[in-house]
Amino acid sequence: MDELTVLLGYFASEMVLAIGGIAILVINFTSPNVKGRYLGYLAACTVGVSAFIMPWQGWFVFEAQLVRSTLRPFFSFCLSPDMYATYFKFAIAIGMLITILASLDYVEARLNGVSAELYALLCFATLSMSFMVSAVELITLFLAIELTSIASYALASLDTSNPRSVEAGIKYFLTGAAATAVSLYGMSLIYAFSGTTNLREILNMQTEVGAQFPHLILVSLIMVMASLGFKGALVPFHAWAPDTYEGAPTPVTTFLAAASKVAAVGLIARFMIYGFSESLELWRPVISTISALTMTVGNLFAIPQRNIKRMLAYSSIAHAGYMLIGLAAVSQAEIDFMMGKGLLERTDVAMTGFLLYALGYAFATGGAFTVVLAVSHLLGTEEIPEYDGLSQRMPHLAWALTIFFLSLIGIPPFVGFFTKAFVFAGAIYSGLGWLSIVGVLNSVVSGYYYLNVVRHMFLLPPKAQSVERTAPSTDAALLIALLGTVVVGLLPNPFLQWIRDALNGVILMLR
Amino acid sequence: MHFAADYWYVALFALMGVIFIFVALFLAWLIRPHNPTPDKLMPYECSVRPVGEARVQFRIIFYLVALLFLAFDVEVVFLFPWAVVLRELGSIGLGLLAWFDMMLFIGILLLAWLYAYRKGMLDW
Repeated sequence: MDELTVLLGYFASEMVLAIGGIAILVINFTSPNVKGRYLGYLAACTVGVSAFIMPWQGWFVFEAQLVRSTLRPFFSFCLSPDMYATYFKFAIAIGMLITILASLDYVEARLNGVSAELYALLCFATLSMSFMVSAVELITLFLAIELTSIASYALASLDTSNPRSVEAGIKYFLTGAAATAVSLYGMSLIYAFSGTTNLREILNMQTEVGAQFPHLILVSLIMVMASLGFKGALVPFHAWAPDTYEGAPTPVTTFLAAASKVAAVGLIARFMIYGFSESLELWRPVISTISALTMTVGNLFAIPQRNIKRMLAYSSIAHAGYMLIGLAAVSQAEIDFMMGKGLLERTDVAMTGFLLYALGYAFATGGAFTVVLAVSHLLGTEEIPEYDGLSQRMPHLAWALTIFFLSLIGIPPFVGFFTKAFVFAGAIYSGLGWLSIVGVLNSVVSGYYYLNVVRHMFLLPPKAQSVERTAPSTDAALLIALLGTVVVGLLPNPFLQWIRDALNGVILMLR
Repeated sequence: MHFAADYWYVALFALMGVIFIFVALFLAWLIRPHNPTPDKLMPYECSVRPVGEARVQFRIIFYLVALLFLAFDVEVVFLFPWAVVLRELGSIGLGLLAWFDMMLFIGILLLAWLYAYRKGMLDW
């Protein structure tokens, strides 16, 4: 295959996203009379097509590695063509697809004036998140983070008629700017000791530099973590999350929780393992501490919330913590496997759990927000007490939300059970038993606030009797999320195989 | 170790700098006359009397124009190195590809400008 075919093939989904986003804006300014709803359909098609293409991009991965000469520097210096990237891109695009389908009604009712901007920005954000999870070079990585962040700032403050939305955007922007500055300093430190911005070459410098200045590596890693942790809303960089999640328009909250977070954890794992796996013992305590803090703070603060968006904000903070257990517990055998050496043993499940968690989380959180969006659109409320008796008024929404919450708690047979089982087992095998105890205790605590909503929906009498019908687009989003939550839980094998392919030799690529 | 020794100089220099500030302020405090007037106590603002609130309203259009200017400024930053190496790229057979790339880039920026224009951002 010639180079151009490989290039077009591998970046097909990114091109679809870019063209779709631009098309939405062009349609909007050439013919302003086109309804926002149709632009939403176009955005959903764009993201859906790119999600459909992504698994097949893996086929071009191997072709891309065969192509030498002109393409090679482009690939190996900026964006890595590997299955790890395609896996995360798929999870992100699925999260975005659910987001867009679920928000069509809400946007038409409340954000009609800016619907073109909203959908176009969502497409561009998907594009930049695709770059985030495939970046293997510090400057590309930074640009991808910034592109996602700028789209998110604009999205969060899109509802200009609502002061809370503007406040959400400003808070997000100010904390984001500070985090960016700190992380740039960290990157400059990395450049100072390695003399390169390429993660692979940084990895090669590690043993040498690590012996001389271990503290330098640690300090620069913590600084870069400030920015990555900010995007993933990890404690102690989470302060923006609850206010922004609550104030931002609900579709944007869905995007931040279901897609932006997945991209952030994908990037963190790539950065730590791809660039710094030689210093594993140096950053393992940092990641496990952040993980334990994130879980505990997220779950404890979720308990007293009455606003369901705010509760889900804290819950999504907590889930980023669970995911990080998988990264903190990565074993040497797994790193060797990613280097293309050796095989995975039965006990090397931490990274597998990490990747599966990201996908399962995107499905379950996207689904939960779909229900929140539908209820917010039909009943005009986001307070948990208003969910009373939802099972009698809109039983399918109530049942779906219950399933998503059970998956988020980690109850079999839903996907959340397997993902949590994998990361906790991985932590035990890697000698981080305390972390898995913290994780299990946190899961129990999280059961309280999730099941509280279920109690409101099923056990308390409804406050009104009106029965509303949900739109077909909402049902489609619910169906995708339910299929993901149930099918990946019942038949995880194809996904586990995909994850294994994604991990196999990911660091080896294009040496 | 040279590396650490160099940093001791920096630390010493920083410490001396901090000490110097306090010594200078202390000496000035010892010998200066103390005679405040309302004019003297006013915040210094480039020799202009502070007038009105610090929070003034200005037209948001300045912001938008600055943003658009930035977009085209960056475009020129990208165009310049491209123009410099285009002949070289042409000699190794990548000229058409490079030309197409830049046209695509300019095209996207042009769409952005059209968007701004149609949304009335340039109406003064």
